[in-house]
Amino acid sequence: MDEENLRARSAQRTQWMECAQRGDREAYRALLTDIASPLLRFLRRRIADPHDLEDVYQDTLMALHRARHTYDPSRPFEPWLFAIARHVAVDHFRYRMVHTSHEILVEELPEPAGDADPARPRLAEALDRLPQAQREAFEMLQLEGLSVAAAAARIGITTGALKVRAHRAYKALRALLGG
Amino acid sequence: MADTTTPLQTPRTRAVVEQLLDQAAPVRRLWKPVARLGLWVIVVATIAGAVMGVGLMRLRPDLRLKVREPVYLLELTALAVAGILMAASAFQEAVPGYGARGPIRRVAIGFGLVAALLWFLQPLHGELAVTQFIGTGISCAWRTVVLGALPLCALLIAIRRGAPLAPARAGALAGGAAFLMAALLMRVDCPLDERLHLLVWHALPVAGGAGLSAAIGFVWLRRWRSRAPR
Repeated sequence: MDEENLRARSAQRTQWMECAQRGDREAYRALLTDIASPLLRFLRRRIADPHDLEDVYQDTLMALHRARHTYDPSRPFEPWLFAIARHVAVDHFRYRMVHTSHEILVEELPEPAGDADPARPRLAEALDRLPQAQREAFEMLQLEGLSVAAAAARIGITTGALKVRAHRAYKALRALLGG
Repeated sequence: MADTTTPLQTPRTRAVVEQLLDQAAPVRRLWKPVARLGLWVIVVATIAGAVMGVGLMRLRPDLRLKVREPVYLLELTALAVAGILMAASAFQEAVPGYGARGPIRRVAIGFGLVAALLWFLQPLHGELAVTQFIGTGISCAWRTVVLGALPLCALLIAIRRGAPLAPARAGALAGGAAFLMAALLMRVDCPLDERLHLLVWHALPVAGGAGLSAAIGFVWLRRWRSRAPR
């Protein structure tokens, strides 16, 4: 009985996806809502941090969206979905491994630059000096509080590219603010 | 305390979902890998015909005799099967979650190794001067590269239309497929059946081409995730 239910649900998802490929917004919404729980369960087994989980979940949805033309309705939906999710999660781990190896943990946070040196430009001025792409990345992540995935989706780039821009912005700001 | 706020419920996730729904335009579904493979084989056959038509490639003079030799036929079959299976595997790489790709890839590599082994069993003519060895060989290697270039471009473009999750592997398979087909065409063109000549000037371009294609794939085929929504 359970297996029958699973098969029926999978068939329903296939149907929704087929409609979504034809541009049916409601079917797409139904599909994205229906896959949310299993997708989240799948990702939770791999990612513990809730913020990372949210980023990877959003990234997976975006990857699914960009790959939706590759889905073949004559094949089951779930292997296609979870292959994408696994790929996004692995990409995320790779990114974390590369970047955390460059980060240094400190016991005390450094003192803010404050007004110690009036010659140092303040944040707004420093931001003005950044290239447009870096400033945009910084503002979306730090001032608007968007997640990496949401910010990347807004300007139509990958989360990886956005993180690179943000990283460059932080580095440039650190230099400008003398931190 | 358990985390009760799932990513589904956060405003940011909802915003992403709404954004995707706004972009839910109809998409042109990718053809099935087998149909795309059929089209690619037609492209390769057309290229081979055109290359023969312009005289870049000729049939070896002793071809009628050679096709009666089982080893030569086995060699051609191994190259053709390996090339086609690698292309099939490359097309499957463009579709996430295509479960059967592992065995096909292994069988393709197996057939490629059979061809290489048959070349290894060819006689060795040590009396060939180095200049002669290089002079005749360079031409074979060059023509293998020329014959493989267009099928490779066609294959890479076709894979890029999909969503390859392992871009370097997809690139390597595409390169292997294209240059194995080129090596097959070269075997009906080149009259030299000598071990070193075959291994250096016929097999190495295939291996090098696959490696180069893997590098191209790593850079060029990974961009499907950053493409504007289709």
